[in-house]
Amino acid sequence: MTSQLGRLIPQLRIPVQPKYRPLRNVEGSYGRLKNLRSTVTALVRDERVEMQYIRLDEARGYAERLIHDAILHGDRDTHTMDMANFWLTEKQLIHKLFKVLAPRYAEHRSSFTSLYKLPPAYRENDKGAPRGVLELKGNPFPPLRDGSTDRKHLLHNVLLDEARRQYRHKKYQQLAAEARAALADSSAEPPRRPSGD
Amino acid sequence: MINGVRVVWGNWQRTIDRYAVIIYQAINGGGGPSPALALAAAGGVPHQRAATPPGGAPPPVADDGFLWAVPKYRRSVERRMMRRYGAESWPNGRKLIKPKNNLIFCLKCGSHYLPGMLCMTCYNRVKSETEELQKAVAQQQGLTPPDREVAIVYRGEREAIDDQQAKAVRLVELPKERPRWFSKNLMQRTTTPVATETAPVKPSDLG
Ligand SMILES: [Zn+2]
Repeated sequence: MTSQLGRLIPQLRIPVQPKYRPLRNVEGSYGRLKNLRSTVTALVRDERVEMQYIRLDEARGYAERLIHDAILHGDRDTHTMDMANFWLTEKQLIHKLFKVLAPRYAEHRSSFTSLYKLPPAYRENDKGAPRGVLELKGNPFPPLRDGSTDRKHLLHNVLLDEARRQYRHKKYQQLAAEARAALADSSAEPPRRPSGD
Repeated sequence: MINGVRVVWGNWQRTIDRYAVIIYQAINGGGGPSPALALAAAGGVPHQRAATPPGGAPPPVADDGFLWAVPKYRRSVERRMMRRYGAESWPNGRKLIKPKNNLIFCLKCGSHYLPGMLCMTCYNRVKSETEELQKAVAQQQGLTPPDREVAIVYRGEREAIDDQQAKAVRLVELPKERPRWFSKNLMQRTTTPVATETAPVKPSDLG
């Protein structure tokens, strides 16, 4: 029963702040909504946006909720369509929400977006707000953080590689010298085969 | 430095002189700003004093009302610098530039970054490529409603996609080769050809 109910109720799969962020604006709460709306629109259009971290964190919940509603109710539902009409200022993106994003995330069991923090920019007198990157999962762009285990650029690996290369070089020179000596002996037998390192 | 000190001292002296004149005039009841005005500017003033005639009995020696809300003592250079840059003894060493001891290094490029954040070197590389791709997608899409997933196709990758697959997605072709670091599969070879032809350069000017 609870699992069935859980399917009916849209739920956010992201950590939500206990209190909404004020996001000060000269136009007050309507200006805040306008900002968030443009952020959600940009996210749906570009699939990856870089902005102030708190603004992204705030807009993320609205985007998740919008996608979840689109998955649950489809484009026949009036309320969902109204919400899509409100949150997406570029109207061709409503098609994208229902035709691309809803099928893409229909089987997802985790959040539809990922949010990353960017380090502070060390400029002189920097008073800029911390920035972040928000992206839709499954986008076609290069991954921001992939789980590759390529460790060849670690300092000790670089040093070990260099040491290994030098050792090999020395060994080859030694073998070459031995071979030359064997040739100089002018014996009939062929030079000794190098036995690797 | 010495010049600066001289200028500061000169300013200070002028200020002292000005106050001396004001105090002198207040005591003697001469011209200039009347003591009543000066006192009124300084705050609450008893009415009797404002009513004192200029030629009458001199008012009592200037009380502390004259120098309200101005520094009473000179702040020493040490104090000033401490206030400006903070000190070890302050809570949390406020204002001091402190080294970060929690930096970690990127497994991909080896540069340092803060834990829980993105490596800026890798991110800048990804960002420039992403912006290029976004521009290409937007140009191809125009204002038509997007109805299919977008697939990025670099040069030389179109042949690997059959027509059925190509119909299911919206292909965005780029006139360049896939970057070496952006591989779909880490075990898969990228399309960038390895340079096979090398031209040896003979050293010159050795004699
Ligand atoms: Zn990196």
